[in-house]
Amino acid sequence: MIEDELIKIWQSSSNQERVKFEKSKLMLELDSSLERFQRWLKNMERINVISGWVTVLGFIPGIIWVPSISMKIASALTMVWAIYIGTRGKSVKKFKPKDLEDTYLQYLEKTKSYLLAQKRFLETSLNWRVLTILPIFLLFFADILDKPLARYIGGISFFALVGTGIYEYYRSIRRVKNKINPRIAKIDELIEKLKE
Amino acid sequence: MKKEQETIFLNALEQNQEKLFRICSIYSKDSEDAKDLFQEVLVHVWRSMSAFKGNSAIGTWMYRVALNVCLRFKSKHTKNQNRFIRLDSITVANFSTIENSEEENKKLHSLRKCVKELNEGDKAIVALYLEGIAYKEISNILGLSENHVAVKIKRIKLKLLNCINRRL
Repeated sequence: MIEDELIKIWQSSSNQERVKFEKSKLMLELDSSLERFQRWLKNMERINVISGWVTVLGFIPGIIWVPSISMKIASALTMVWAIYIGTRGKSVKKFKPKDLEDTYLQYLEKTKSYLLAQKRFLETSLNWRVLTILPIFLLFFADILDKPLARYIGGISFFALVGTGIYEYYRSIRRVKNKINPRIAKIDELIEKLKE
Repeated sequence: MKKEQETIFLNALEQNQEKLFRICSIYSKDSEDAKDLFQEVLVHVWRSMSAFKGNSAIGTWMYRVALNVCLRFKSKHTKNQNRFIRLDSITVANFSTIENSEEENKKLHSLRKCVKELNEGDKAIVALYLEGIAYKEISNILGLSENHVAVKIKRIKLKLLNCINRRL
């Protein structure tokens, strides 16, 4: 077989499978698909914003009505914590490659940066998500630890919080190991193969 | 403005649909999967249309978007995930193989298998080469130098020929 025959053979596949589209219907479908997609994106963003606001608003009564000073401070810090957690997520999103018109190589590099940002985000989640809330939690109970019931509830909640935090951390680590690392390795290999 | 964009899109699609479909088929397991991927490509091409500045031929731009979409969906292993796009207006008709001789069909079948055996980087290059796209355009789409593309194509062709000859 000669080399130029390759192109001819390849393009002969149109004789076997032919793509057909109805112009008018296609445009309507494309528009509605995009609308659905945009709606889904907006909903996801809305859910994030709403859950942030629920946390923030939920602790306002704590600042206003709770008599204990340490609880007031803890409520305010929880609000700051909720905002901080929300913005951490956004810092990763900014790496997401949006421009599909980039060259293949640029797109690969951007995808890799995004995956690395995700990896860092998940690997450090113990520090910025769990460890930051623990001192705030202790502040909540600082003034009432002399009461046996508060000590009891506080102890149980503390261990539940620590347990959830550790579980979430291991889930993140597993996700990095099983989902993100293989994809980074695959993209590295692809970039290397393209450049060699 | 939208009407104008729509006309440009439809005309470009009419001219390039077979090529785009064949690119998708390289990254798919079977023709059903290729159709899904093709639909995904169309939605993303249409979505990016407003950003098309006309700095390159629209066909070249479409291949660039198509390759990146194929990469995104392939690398995510997102078969049946995130693929909520179903376009009834697109059909892929399977023709009888009367138009091709049996030998040609055998060659095509071998070529397809051999292309799928290539690594992902080589697949991207050969997908464009087999569509008869000029080296300069391929280098613009991939972000590699023209010389680099030429060297790679030479190597890939050799791999393909060896693979096909082994199979025939």
